[in-house]
Amino acid sequence: MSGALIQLRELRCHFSSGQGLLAAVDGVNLDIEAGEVLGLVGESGSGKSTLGRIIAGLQPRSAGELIIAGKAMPQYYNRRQFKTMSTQVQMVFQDSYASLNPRMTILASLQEPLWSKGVAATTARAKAAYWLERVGLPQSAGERYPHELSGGQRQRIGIARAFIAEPRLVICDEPVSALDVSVQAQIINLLQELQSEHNTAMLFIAHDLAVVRFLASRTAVMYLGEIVELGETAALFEGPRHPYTTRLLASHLDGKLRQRSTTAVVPMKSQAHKTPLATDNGCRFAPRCPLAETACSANPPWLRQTRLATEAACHRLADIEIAKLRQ
Amino acid sequence: MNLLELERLQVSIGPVQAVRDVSLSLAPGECRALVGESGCGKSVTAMSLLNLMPAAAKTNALRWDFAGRDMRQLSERDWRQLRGNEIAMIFQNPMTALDPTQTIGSQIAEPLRIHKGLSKREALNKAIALLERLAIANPAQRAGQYPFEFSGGMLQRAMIAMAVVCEPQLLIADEPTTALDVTVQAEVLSILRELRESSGTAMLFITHDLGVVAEIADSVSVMYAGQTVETGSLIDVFSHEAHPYTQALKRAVPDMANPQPLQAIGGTPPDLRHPPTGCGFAARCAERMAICDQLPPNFACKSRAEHYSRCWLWHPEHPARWREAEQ
Repeated sequence: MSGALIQLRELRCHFSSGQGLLAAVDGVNLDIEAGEVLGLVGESGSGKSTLGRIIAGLQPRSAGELIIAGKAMPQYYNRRQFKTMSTQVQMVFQDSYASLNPRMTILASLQEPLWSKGVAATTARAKAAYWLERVGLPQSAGERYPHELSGGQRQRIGIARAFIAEPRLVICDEPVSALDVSVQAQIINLLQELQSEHNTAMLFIAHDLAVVRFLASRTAVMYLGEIVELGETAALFEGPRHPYTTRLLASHLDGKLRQRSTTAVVPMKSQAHKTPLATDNGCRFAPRCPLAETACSANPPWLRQTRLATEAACHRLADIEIAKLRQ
Repeated sequence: MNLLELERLQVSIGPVQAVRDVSLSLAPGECRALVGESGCGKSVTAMSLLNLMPAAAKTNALRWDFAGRDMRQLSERDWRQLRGNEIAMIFQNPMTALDPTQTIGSQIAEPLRIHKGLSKREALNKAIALLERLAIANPAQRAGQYPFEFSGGMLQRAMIAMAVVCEPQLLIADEPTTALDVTVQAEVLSILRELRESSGTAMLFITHDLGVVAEIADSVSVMYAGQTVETGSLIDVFSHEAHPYTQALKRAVPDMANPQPLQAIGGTPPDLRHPPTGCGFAARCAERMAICDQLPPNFACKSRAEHYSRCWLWHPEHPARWREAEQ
């Protein structure tokens, strides 16, 4: 069967909450091609982690289709199905300490994915030793326990553990945001090397825009459960179309010295963080959007092609494009 | 006269020499950023400035003056009158710093009642006025709510309100925006900037994010392994960075406008239970010389006026400097 490695069709994940049905992920359509790095950015609460967890099989979806390597995945996995799926998709977590078993040595943790794949014990041991070295740790680290390693070293183990079973897709959920800047660079470089070495597809979830700009070839921007803009990273960062993307990029602090605006706080139109409900009509960004019209809160927008290599879900896309042309 | 003069602060907690040599000065109304990786002693320095260290910690300073007083002579009684009144602190995580069983309004009003002797009603009215200035909608209603009813950005604003309500001369902010989304971070930074301009409060801003530093600071002190290694104006430290650690740190941050391979800093910071005899950064430094392992450089090495760097490269007798001086 042809098509992308991962295909999401109208994917939804709803949770019941006091205010009604909370739509953490609401109608997401997304393809991840084999070997590509897709960045996924958005604020906390935008549903980016939930989306990653659904693809990794750690969270059942409420509706929609999830297709991995041409096979439609069930909503709930049985043990055998989950094992098969997990040889294709692996995950690197933000909290490297919580994601390793504190009572297993590093070497055992590394071999675990291979055991479940049915690899012979001697081969598994040799592979684990290779990967220890590959991620830049001494062999002696294999005998240690997670608490004996530093955060950067533990994250290296988390990465080795994700790559060791040779999956087709690695989902990285904020893998560097808990690390120091100097260590961050080491980990990002390592991820990039491994990705191109093994031609593994990667879904890179982050709130740090600079890291995504650096790693991803395509980027998706999520806002309250929906993808609001999607496209080639360079085009999206240089010519953001959706007002939310524009706002997000403007908030990024790049460490450049420039004239500071001394104007007082310009709050977004509504300070309150809205909870996305399954029953919402219209554009979820409209209450905070400087360009919102009455029509915006009546009907939901959908992703439409822009003049660049991107798509944006905004009712006012035509006006925005004209304004950009006039600049 | 400077508001704060701190020379050669040393703090040891048990066997760990957390702060080995920190010198700082703050003029009234100045905002100084204190930059460094986790474990470098930034937070210990901040806690020491409020005398909030555990009893087991030993603190020693050559000079520690605040507003003309020798802080080493103060009794705990004096400190209690000072904290929250003349020196206030904003913590990184408002959810754990605020009392979950008290309303936001009464927590902001508390320092006014304790330090300024205001009545309950007067204090609460002032708290509400302050919340309104910090762009919180329906401040009177909000003041009656509890921390769990606030979003992260609003909690941080409540935390800021609590810290500035007594109009302190010095505000210590320990990573106040690290836990926030970028769009909220931009709002909090502009609030802090506005407060500083209107009230003339001096600020010590602790962060590891160079982007935030460029946005808010007048001057910068860089810390490494318990020592201030570089200090100067924002422009000095950002455009003429002198210490190899500062230089390496800047190369390790991804640049959104110009995505280039990241140059990670190899190795790890030294173990502060057994700090090295020479320069703390020598083991990771690209420009290491024989002397670096033997003797610690002192902080008087001047690269430009009012720009100090703790590095042998900037010692007046280093041959490269002689050549520069002759030209």
